[in-house]
Amino acid sequence: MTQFKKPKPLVSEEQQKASSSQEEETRRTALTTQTSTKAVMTLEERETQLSSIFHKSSDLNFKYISFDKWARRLLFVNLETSSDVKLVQEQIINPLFELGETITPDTFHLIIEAETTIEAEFNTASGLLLDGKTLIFIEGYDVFYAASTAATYKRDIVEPTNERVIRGAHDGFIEDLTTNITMLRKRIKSPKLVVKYFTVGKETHSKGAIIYMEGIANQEIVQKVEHRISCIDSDSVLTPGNIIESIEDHPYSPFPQIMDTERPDRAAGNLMEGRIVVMSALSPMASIMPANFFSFYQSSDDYNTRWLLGSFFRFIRIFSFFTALGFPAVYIAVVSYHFEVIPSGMVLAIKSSLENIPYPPLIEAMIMELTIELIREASIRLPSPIGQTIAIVGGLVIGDAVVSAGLVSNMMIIVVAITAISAYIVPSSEMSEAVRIIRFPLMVLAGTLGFIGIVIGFMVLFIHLTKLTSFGTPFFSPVAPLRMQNLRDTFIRLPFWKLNQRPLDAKPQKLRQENRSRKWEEEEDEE
Amino acid sequence: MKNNSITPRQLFFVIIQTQIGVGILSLPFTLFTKAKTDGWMSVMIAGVLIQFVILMIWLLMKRFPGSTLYDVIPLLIGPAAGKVLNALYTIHFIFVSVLILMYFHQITGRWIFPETPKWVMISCVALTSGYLITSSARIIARFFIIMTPLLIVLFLLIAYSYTDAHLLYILPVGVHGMKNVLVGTQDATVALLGFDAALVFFAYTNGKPEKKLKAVSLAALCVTLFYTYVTFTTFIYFNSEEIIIVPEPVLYMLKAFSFKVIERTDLVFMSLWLVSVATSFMSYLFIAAKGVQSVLKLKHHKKTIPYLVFTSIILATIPKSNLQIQQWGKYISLSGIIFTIPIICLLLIIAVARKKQGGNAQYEK
Amino acid sequence: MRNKFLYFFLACSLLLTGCWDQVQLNQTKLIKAGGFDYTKKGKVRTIAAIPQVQPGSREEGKEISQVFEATGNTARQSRHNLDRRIAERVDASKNLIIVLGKEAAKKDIYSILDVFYRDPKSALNAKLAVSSKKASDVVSMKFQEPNIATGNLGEYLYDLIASAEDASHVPEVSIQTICPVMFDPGQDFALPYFEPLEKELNVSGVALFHNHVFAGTIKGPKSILFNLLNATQSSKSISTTRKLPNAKGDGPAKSVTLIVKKAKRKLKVSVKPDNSVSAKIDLNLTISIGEFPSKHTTDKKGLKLVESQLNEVLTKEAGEIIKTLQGFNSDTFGIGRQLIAFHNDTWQAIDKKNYFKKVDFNTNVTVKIMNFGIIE
Repeated sequence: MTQFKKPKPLVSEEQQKASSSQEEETRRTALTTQTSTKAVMTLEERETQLSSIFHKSSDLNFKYISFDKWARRLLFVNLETSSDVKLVQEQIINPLFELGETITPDTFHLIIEAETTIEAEFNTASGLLLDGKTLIFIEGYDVFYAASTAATYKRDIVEPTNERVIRGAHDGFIEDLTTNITMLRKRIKSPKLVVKYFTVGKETHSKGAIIYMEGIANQEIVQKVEHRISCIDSDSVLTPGNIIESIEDHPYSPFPQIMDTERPDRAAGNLMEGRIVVMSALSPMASIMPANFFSFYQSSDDYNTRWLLGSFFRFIRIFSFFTALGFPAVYIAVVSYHFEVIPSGMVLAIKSSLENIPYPPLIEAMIMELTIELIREASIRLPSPIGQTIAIVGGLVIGDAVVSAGLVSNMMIIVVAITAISAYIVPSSEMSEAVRIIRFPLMVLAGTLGFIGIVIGFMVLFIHLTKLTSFGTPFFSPVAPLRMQNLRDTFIRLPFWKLNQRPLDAKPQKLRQENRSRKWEEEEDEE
Repeated sequence: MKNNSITPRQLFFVIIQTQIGVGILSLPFTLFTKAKTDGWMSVMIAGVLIQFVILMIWLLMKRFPGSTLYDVIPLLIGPAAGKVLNALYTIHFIFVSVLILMYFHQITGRWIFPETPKWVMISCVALTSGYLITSSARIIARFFIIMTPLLIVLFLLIAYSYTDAHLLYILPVGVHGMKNVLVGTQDATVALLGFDAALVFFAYTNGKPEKKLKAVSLAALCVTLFYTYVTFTTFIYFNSEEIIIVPEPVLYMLKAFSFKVIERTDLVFMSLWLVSVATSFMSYLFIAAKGVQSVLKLKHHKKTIPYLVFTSIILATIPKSNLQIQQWGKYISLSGIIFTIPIICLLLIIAVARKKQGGNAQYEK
Repeated sequence: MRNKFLYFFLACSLLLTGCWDQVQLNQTKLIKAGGFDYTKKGKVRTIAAIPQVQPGSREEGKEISQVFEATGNTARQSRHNLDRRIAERVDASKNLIIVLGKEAAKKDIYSILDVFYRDPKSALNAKLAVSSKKASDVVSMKFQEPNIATGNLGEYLYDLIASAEDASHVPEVSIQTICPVMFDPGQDFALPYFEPLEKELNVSGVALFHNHVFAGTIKGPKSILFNLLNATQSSKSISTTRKLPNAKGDGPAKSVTLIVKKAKRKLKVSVKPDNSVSAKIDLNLTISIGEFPSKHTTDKKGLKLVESQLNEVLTKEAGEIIKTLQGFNSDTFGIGRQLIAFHNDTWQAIDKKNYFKKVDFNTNVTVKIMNFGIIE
C-alpha cells in the first residue's frame, strides 16, 4: 500500500493559490518533454495497474474513447461510486463530443466544464480517484487530467434538533464541509478567516478543516491544535469524536473540553472570541476549542433576547447545573441523615410519603434515576412515532405504577423529575451527559456521609474543574482564575455594548472587541 | 516558575483560606476561659502582633526573592544545619495538618457523626486535599478563590444571631484584667496561625515586594476582624455563665436558628466550615510537601503527596480521647508559635548580620 | 497513572464501607410535643405526642396523634423508657413545644431541659410553656376542634402560642433564647402559661420564673402591659381593653380598646452611694382607638381627658405588675444585668439573690392617641 499518500501537510488557501500557478509551470514542462526518452505507459498498462491498486474493485470504471481526427485514444477512469455519473456525462463527455473534432489534445481540457487539473505523477492517481475525480489519460502522454466530478449528496439545511433556539438563525451545519464553511464565511466576511484543510486516518483519509481568525486567535493554540491533529496516527478516523478524543487535554475527565455545536452562529461567535473551530468533512459537528465550562451554558438565544431576560436564563442554567448534580444527593442526605433541616410543616408530609417504602433512599433514588436513563436511551433509539409512546409509557405508567406499588415514594418521583429536567436545560448535550454521570457518585457520597459527603463531593468536583485545562487554557475561567471583566458574560449577560473585551481564557491576540456602539447617545445629548 | 506563579491578589486569598480553619468554632470558648468577656480584645491584640510577625517574615523573604523558606535556611545557617532545620519545619507543618484533621473529627464526631469511624471522616478530607495539592500553587490559589464566597455565607449566618443578642453581656469592658487578656492573646495567635504560609507562598508570588506584603497583611487584618466579629458575636449571644459549658459556641448559636426554608442552620454552617478546614489543611500539607521535596531533593513535590496524606491520616487517628487531643494541640500550638516567631526572628537577625542576600533564585515547580 | 487509579479506588472503597450514622426518616417516630411532670415519687414523667401517619394509597395520609408516657429518674431515662414502648426509634429533633407541668416547673427546670441543651440533634427552637395543671393534661387532651382531636397536636400548641405571641400576650421565647437568661444572675425570664379548660386550652398569661424556678403568674390583660414594660412585645398590632374610672354610662360603655401602634420603653437604672438601686421605667405608647362606645370626641380637650385617664389607669397597673414581680423576685427587666454592665461595683456589693425586691421603681406610662379608626 505504498501508493497511498501520507497525510498532506497543512496548507492555507493562499498557499494553495500559489501552488496552482506552480502547477501551470509543471504542465508546460511536462507537455513539452513528453517525447522524452522515458517510455510512456500505454493506456492498457495504466488500466491493469489501476485495477490492481484497487484490487479489481468492480466500481472502478474504464472507458476508452477515440476521435477520428486524433490518432490518440483517450482513457476515462473513475470510481462510479465516488463520482457523479451524470456530471461526467454532462460536463466531460458531452462537450467533448460536441467540440471534440476542433481541438487538440493539448488544449482539450479547456472545454471540459468540470474543474480540471493536470497531474504528472501517476502515483497520485489512486488518491484522485478516491476523491471522486475522473481521470483522463491520453495515449502517448505521460501527464493526465483530473476532472472534479465528485458525487455530492447534500441534506437540506435544517435547524439542528438538539440545539434549538426560539429566536435567531435556524440554519444548521450539514454533512458537507464546503457548505459548512460557506455558512461560516457568510457570517464572517473577513479575509482574516483562515481555513486549513487536513486529512487524517491512514485508510479512511478523512478530510477536515481547521478554521480560525487570524489576528484574534492565539497563534500558540492554533499551532497546538495543528500539531495534535497531525499526531493522530490511526487507520480510521470516522467521526469527529475520534479527533476530539485524540487531541483533548484530559481524556479521563467526565467533562468535555471541546465544545461541539451544529449551529453556524454559535461557531461564528466562538471564532470571533478567538477560538478555533475544527470540522470534519462528513459531519455536521463543529468542534470548538479551547472550550470553557461556562460556554457550554451559553446559548445564542441569550444574545437575541433582551439582556435582562438573557441574564435570567443564564442564571437559571447555572442553577440547573447545581440542581441536576446535587438535588437527589441533598434529598438522600436529608432523608437518611439530617431530617432536622426539613421545616416542621413539611416533615410529616415527607414522612408519610416515605412510610412504607422498603428500600433505603439511596437505592430508591438509584432505581428511579436508572429508570429515567433507560427511558431516555430508549426514546432516542426508537423511531420517532414510537418514541412518543415510550415517553408516555415511561413517564406516566412507570412513574404512576411504581408509586402505587409502593416501591418508590412520591417525593422521590418529584426529586427525580426535577433533576431530569434540570439536566436537559444545558444547551450542550455533552455537558448534560457529564452532569448526569457525576450525579451518581454524589448520590453515593450523600448516602454514606450525608451533607459532609456532598460537600466533599462538590469539593472534588471543583478541584477537578480548576485543574482541567483545554489546550493549556484554564477550563473553569472567568471563575478560576477569577476574571471580573469576563464575568459580565458568564453568570449574567450584560448588554452587547458593555461586552468590550473578549473572554481571556482563549488568550486572544486582540482583546478589545467592542468600543462605543452607543456613542450616539452622547451626540444626541449635545443637541 | 512562569506557569506556577500567583498574583498578590491570589496570595491574599491563600492566606485568608489558610488562616480561617478549625479555630473559628472553638476560639470564643477558649478565649472566654482565659479572658472572660474581654476575650475579643485578645484577638485584636494578637492581630496587631501578627502584623509585626508578617513584617518580619517579609523582611526575611524579601532578601531572597523567588526562594521559599526551605531554600533560605541552608543559605543562612549552612547546608547541614539547614537540612536539620528544614526537616524540623517539615515535621512541624505535618503535625499542624494532623492537628487540623484531629480537631475536624472531634467536632464533626460530636455534632453530627458520632458513629462514623474516625479514619473515614479524616480520610475523606485528606484524600480530597491530596487531590488538589498535587498541582501547582497557582491551581491551589484558584481553588481557594472559588471557595471564598462561602466565607461570606458563614459571615451572614453568624450575623443572624444579632436578632437575639444581648449587647449588655459584653459590658463591663476591661474588668477582668489586662493580664488575662494577654494570656488569651496566645490562644488567639494560635488560632490566627496560617499567615506562616507566606514563608513558602511568597516565593510563588509575582509582583513588587511591597504588594506582596500588602496582600498578606491585609489578609491577616481581614481574618483578625472576622475572628473578632465571631468572638464578639458569641459573647453577646451567650451569657457568661453559659458560654463556659459550650465548647463550640458558634455552632450552638446557629442550632437554634430556623428559617422558613431550612431549619437547623448549624448543619449548613458545619458543611461550609468543612471547606474552610480543608483549605487550611491543603495549605499546610502543601507546605509540608515542599519541605519534603527540598529535604529529599526531589524534582517535584507531587511524589510526596500520597505518603504525606497517609502519614497524616495515620497520625491523626492515634489520639483516642479528647484529653489526648488537647495534649497534642497544646504541643503543636506551642511549636507553631516557636517556629513562626522566635526562629524567624533569629533567621532574620542572621540574615541582616551576615548581609546575606539571595539573587533571583529560580525555584523550579 | 497507576498511582492515580490506586488513589481513586481507595477513595471509592471508603464509600462502600457503610452508612454508620444513618437515621432514616421513615424509621423514626417524631415527637412533636413533649411534656414533663414529676410523679409523686419524684420521678420524671415524659409525655410525648407523636403524630402517626397512615399512609394512604392515593390521597394524603391521615394523621393520628398518639400520646405515650413513661417515667424515669431523669428526663433522658424517661425518654429511653418511652423508646422501649414504641416500635421505631423516637426522635425529638422536630419537636415543636415542651410543656412543663406546674409542679415540674416549681423545681429546677434546667435539670429537665439539660438533655435538650446537650443533645446535638435536639430542637432548640421549640417553644416552652407552663401548664397550670399537669403537663399530661395539656398533651393528652381531647380537643374540641375536630381536626386537632386526631391531627398534629404539636402544631396546634405551637400555633396557639404563636398567635398569643403575635398579640403580645406572651413573650417570644424558645428553649435556646431562655438559656442565656436562665444562666444570667441579673435577669429572669417568663414563659407562656396554659390553662387547660374542659375541651380547649387557654393561653392565659405568663409564668414568671426566678432563676430556674417557677414563681408565679401574671394573667389576663395585664400580661400585655407586662410585655410592653419588658419591651418583649411583638411588632404586630397589640390591642387591649381598659375600663376608664371616670367614664359615664354602664357596661361596655365604660371601656375603651386601645390598639398600640408604637411602644417605646426607656429603662434607666441609677445607683446611690449607699448602693440602693432605683429604676425608672418610661413607657410611651402611641395608640389608636379600636373601640370606644361611650363617646365620640374629636375636640382637643376631650382627647386630653381620655389620654390622661388612660395614663392614670395604665401607670397604676404597671405599678401593680412591678409589685407582683418584686413579690415573686422575678427580674424580667434585667435590672441586675444593667448593674453588672454599668455599675459593677454596686453589683459586687449587693445581695445577688434578693436585690430585685429592694429596687425602687418609678414607672410612668404615657399614652398618645393618634387616630380613632375609620369613624370619628
